[in-house]
Amino acid sequence: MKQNSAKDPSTLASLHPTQAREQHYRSYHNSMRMHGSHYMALRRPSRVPESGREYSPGDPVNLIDWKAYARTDQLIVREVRDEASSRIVIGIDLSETMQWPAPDQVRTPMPSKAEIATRVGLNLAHLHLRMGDLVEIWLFDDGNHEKPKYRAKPRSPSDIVSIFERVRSQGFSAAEMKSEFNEHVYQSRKSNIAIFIGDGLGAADYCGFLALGVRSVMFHLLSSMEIDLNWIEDDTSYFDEGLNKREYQGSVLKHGQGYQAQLRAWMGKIEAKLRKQGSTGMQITDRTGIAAYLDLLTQCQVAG
Amino acid sequence: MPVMNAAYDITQIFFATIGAGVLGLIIWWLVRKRQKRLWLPTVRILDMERKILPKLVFRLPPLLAFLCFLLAAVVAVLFSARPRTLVFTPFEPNQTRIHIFVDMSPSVSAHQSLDGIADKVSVLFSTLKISGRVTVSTSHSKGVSEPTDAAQVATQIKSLGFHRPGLKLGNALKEMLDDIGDVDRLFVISDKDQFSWTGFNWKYLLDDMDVIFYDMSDESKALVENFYVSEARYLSAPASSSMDWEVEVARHNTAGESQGTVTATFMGKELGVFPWKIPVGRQRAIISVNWPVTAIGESGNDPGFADTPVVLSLKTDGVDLISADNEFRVFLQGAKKDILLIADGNSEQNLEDPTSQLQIALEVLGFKIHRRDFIVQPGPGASEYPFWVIVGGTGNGHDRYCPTSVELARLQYKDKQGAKDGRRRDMPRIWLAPHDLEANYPEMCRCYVRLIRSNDASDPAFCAEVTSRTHWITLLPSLGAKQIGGDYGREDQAVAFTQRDDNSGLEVLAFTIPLKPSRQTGVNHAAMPVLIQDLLRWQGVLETGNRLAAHWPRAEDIVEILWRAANSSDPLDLTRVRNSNVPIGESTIAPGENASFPPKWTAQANWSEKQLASKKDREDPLPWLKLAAFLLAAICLLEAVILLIARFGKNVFRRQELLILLAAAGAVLVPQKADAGMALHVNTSALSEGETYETLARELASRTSLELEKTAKVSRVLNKAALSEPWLFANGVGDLTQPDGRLKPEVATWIKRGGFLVIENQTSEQLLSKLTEGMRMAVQDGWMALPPDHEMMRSFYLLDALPDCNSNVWRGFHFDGRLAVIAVPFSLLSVLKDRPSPSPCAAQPEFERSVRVFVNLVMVALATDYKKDQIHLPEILKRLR
Repeated sequence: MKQNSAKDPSTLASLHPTQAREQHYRSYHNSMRMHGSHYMALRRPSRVPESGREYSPGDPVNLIDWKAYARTDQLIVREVRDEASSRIVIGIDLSETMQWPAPDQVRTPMPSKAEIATRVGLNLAHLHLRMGDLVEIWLFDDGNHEKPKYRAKPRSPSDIVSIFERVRSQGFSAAEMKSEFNEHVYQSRKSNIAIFIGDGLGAADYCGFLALGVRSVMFHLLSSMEIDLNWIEDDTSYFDEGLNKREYQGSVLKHGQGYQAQLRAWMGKIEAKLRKQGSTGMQITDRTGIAAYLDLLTQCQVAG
Repeated sequence: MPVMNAAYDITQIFFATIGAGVLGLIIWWLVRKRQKRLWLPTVRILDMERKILPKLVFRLPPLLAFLCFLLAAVVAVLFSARPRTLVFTPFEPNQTRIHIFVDMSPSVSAHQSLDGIADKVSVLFSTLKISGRVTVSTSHSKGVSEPTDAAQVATQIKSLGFHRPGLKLGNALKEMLDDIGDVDRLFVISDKDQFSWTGFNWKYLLDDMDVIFYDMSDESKALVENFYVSEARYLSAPASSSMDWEVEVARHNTAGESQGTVTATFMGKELGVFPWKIPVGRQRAIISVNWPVTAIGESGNDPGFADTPVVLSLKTDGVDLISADNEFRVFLQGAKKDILLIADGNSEQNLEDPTSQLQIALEVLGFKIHRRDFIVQPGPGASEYPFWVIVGGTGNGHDRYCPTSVELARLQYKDKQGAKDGRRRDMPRIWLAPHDLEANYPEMCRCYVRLIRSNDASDPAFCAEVTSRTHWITLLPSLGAKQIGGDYGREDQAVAFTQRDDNSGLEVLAFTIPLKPSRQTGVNHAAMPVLIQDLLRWQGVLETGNRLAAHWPRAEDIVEILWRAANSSDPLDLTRVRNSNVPIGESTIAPGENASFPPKWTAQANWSEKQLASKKDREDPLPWLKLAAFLLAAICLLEAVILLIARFGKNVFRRQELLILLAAAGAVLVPQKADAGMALHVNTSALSEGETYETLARELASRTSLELEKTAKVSRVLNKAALSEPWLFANGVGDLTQPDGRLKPEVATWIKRGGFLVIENQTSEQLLSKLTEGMRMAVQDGWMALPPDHEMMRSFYLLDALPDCNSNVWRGFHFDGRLAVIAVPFSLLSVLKDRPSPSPCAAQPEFERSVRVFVNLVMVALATDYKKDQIHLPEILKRLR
């Protein structure tokens, strides 16, 4: 990933909901994407015409395309594809750890993980709403709760844009975000696609959230400052007062190899957990380029 | 602060306090290095080794709090060295209390005769008299006397003599010291008898006084024997015809064979002489002492004989140390008492005699019975027999057995007050019993009334109605008699009823049953004597009649028995105690260990000067406590000022250090306190400069609140500096006068303004009068010889006279109602300086006397005659009242 500045317009720090990759229709259809209609068939190049498939015993005989048979000597059944809206569930983690880094904690202002998560989440919601999907956005706001407490059901892409503008005007504060949502009791309902955006450091049960989706993806979001420790000062002490209070000297974090190794190991564990349940994990930071992000969208593996 | 005079104790605690203080100071400076702390959420997933020890650095601590701690640490270190100032207390004969306690217990008489101890005590008294106030007390009583001379002491001791009870010194001194208060020196005159010294912890008295032991022991008498009677036991039965005693004779040594005699006497009559012998190596011998009952004779009936002891007097063929323990007293036991029995025997046969069993019972109990069948009125005298038994109700008339003599004797005391001491006035105890259950109760009633109730000879009419025993039983309590025997409230069960006439002391016991065994009454032959014995005991007839116990007292400690009980005891008991048998502990004369006695007094001529120091040092922590209090107050004030300024003067004073400096500077700029010490300014050529008066200054400081400078300011000529002092000593009038002999104007002005002039070595009356010519203001102003009642004699010390010099007296010039100039016939300063010079006076002035005169002089110079000040009048009047 290219190291870009915090507000580099090419990074996710500047992602807008309306930003999406425009594709040729064919590549749109043929691409492995997770946005769009719910049914995507893995198509291999074949001589079978579009909207047809090979005859399987038991298929209705009156649907056999005799002209295609005459051409190809293959029994082809004509099929009209009905396209239905997908139910998309997007979960955005806005817990305490996602608010990091706060403006008073770093010298140069950096977008918080919550901002990036909000941008990505609204972007995905916009994309799906354009496709005519039903989108639900859930917010995980409390680091101690596993389930989300706030829900929004935008009806149109313009709703998303409005939400984004308001939230952006308030600096992507969690309170403003929550004010756009309604408090709602979370009910575990199946969805076609479940998407979770968070850092995995809070108590949010992202595995449970993703398990309800037929296809599921977790955007594992970390701050670039959490990955790259060049900004750390040797004499400063870095702490966390979560479940297990920990504190380390900057020099220990920076110069030892332990931090990077343990971070990678942890990230690997999350990925393995997701894979185990059939979800896909994608690593993004505030410095991930938009183009790369959009490529991820089209390139992500879909289970089942 | 008299730091030079201070004493310190440098101990482990001092060093420990220093260590703790230094550690505390270090901790104040040592802080944990503050680090910037930032939150990094991914730290929670880490599991790396952390640095445990925080980095420590030295930083400047908060100033105010640190200063407070520093001051507190310094104070703590200082006090851990126990600082105290040595204070000199001068010797004051008038205020030094000396008490002499003389042990007059029997053991002391083994070493010293009465004259010997009296002489020794009087010599001691004479020696100590010059050293202070001497009081004297003896072990006889708690009383303390303050004799005026030695002869009085000797007379007092000889008149008291040695006492017979023992003495415990610890008890005695505790009782006595509680009463007499503070004593500086206590002299205990005693022997080394262990019996007296046991339990006396004299060392606890050392905090308050000196304890000195004047040992009366005579070592030459260590081998001399002491013989004594240690015990006497009565062996005879009550009905025995002889009085048999077992007497134990003992001695305190065991060497050699000893022999002698024991003589028993009673009321001056010798009852017998009995030899005794103690063989070699033995300490005791038991002998039998006996005499026939008849030897006591009629004196046994004398009511007073119960209080008279039998005296066993021990004599020995050899020398005997203590004579007091040769007399051993015991109560007379076994003497038969007379009983008059008036009972009409029915016949010659015992079986029909209703009183035969009664007689037997009484005889067994040791009574001598005088039997009369009937009496002829008025009957025997009331005092003839101490005990009467009248068996009546025979039906032959009560005059046959009921005597009027008792009635008459009782009526004699009718208008007199009752016997308050509980002693009967020669009136008998009377038992009145029916001869039978079916006795003539009207007769019994009449007899009873005659004995105890009647006021005249008339026949009580109500007795005619007492026809049965039941009436008899009902009558008696109604006449005021008290029930004897039976359950409370069940008068029918009573054995008898008793009544006492308070005026005469007559007691009558009226029985409800005949005094003979009877199936009807339930009293059998076995119970009869027991009943009689119990009744006699209850009435006290069987006992010897005194309450002090059957044994003659043997007082171990005179303090317990006489000192504490002196106000409450019966005079008879006190007499008995004073004649108590000598306790065995006194007789054994066992000496204690030398180390357990206080320091001994030695009869050296100059002992009192040597032993009694002119100064007594004591430790005084007060100045240091004042210092601690001052520091504490200063710290609190400093903190308060700084906090106030910090709160209200933030903009002006931003640095606390500046405030501290300002506060310190303010203290420095505060004007210095004026010097309150007095200076001796001497205008003379006789004294050289640098003459010191250190001793005089110290004496003045210790006796008064004045501080005198140790070095005199000497000026050869009269100058401004001299006249700026409030008082001036001049040797002669040379430099003070004009050519015409009058005082120089500046000196006269100085005197008029309050100056006090002391002219030494000046005796000429003419010269003095010329000196102050023209200075008189009031009629009483002028020169005069100081009379004995002058304020100089009583301004501080009470002086009877001022020291003269070759018959020349002190003269004083009064100006404006005050003593302004004083002429001393010799050089007072020469006597008072540290290296005194001899004076030309025939009698050299004593230093102590001169100091007192100087103190008085200073007081007059400073305060004149305070009694003349109106402001003091209310206080003076209050004291006069």
